[in-house]
Amino acid sequence: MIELRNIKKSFGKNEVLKDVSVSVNDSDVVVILGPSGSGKTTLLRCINFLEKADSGILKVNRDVINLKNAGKKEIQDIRKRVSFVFQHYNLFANKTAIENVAEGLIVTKKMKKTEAIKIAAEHLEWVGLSDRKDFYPSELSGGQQQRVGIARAVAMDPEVILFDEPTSALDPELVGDILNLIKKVARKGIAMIVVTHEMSFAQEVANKVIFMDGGYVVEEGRPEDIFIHPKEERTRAFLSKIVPLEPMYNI
Amino acid sequence: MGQIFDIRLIPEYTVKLLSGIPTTLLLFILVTVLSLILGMAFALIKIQNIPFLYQIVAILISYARSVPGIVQLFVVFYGMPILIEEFTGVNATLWDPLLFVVIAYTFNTSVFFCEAMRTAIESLDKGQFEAGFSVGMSYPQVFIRIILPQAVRISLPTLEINACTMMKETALAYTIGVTTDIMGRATILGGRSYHLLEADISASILFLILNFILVIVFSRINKKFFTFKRKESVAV
Repeated sequence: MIELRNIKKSFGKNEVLKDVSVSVNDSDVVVILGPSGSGKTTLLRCINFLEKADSGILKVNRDVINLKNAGKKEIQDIRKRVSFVFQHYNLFANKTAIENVAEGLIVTKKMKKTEAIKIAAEHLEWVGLSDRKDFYPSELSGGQQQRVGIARAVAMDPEVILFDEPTSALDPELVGDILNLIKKVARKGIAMIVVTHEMSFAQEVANKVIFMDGGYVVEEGRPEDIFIHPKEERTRAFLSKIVPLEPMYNI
Repeated sequence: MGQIFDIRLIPEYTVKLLSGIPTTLLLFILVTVLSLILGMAFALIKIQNIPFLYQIVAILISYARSVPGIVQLFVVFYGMPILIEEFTGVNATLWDPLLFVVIAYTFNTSVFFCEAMRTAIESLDKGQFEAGFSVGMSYPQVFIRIILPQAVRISLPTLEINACTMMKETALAYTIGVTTDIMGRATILGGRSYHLLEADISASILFLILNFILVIVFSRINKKFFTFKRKESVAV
């Protein structure tokens, strides 16, 4: 279980997160929606310390960590248990696909190289990229790179995976593949927090939707409540812009 | 002494100057290795913006960039023994001048290596660091395993140019009494026979060949270690 309490974060004078609290149960799929600049990505990045929050508490199962003054050890410990999938994949450019997946296992999980490679191969197969295991990122398409990114995240056997707009940089025709793969991750029972603009994905997969705007959580609830009966005017306005009126066209 | 310029002497001198290659190569390799280490340290100091050390590196960089190589060599050769004697009481004036050549050129070259590597590291996508952090790696682990190989790849052409420049500039060592390298030998050979120009042309030939080899070595290193593509796809 992951809980975030009273997270605040500013970049200079720009207050991005004003006071955000979120909780995620085991095997929850939480989708965060919101207009750009609402702080979704920053929230995600604060969870595994890619950004340092100005204040706030992070609870991962029994561990309680102060986001502001966590020590190096604590941060590395959290990062081992919380994986991250990036919008721009961020595969290690000097490593092959399989090495990308094995890297964390070898360096931070202290596995033997042969064992790590074996696990990495299994995960590459699981994402359907066995035949590309010796390819470098520059030789892979965007969709393939993101598959490796997801394999890298899952291979760490994390308690939660954070997805930061995992399909935003992809060709439209590849988006569906990656979303299906993320569903497959969800079926594994790993908890995840997904920042996305894919409404149909949110409706189908999420068991909790959070709508953020202006550095606050405006509304949260089950997808059917948020999408069909949003309580807040702001949520309604946002959804009416994003969800097409004709459901036919909403692929 | 017959003609002023005797072209027939050139092959003979070229062969004789071969005996200078070991010293020139030794200088080159020592300075390159030391400069890589020191240059990386300088680059890290600049990137991490470590107070005090940052200022020292900044001063060194301006010094190496603006002061002519021969002046740097003289300052090290005549200045360092005084400093050493002042602080340790050891008389360094009779130490092998090669040592001072190595020190002077390492200072100079490491500064250029530092700038090449610093800019390469800064040109890398921030996401490379973040990806490393996201799987729980520490800064040094990310730096060594992920960042450094990519930075070397990017900076390799600049490192190569600076290394080539350094190799030929080591010829200045003869001005402080080094006689065993290519230029030292050429000076002696030409001075004795009054055929200095022939000796210099022979030295030119050797430096040309050395540089040519160096370029090939660098391109091999680049292909073998820093391409980050499968072998089959590189061959295409």
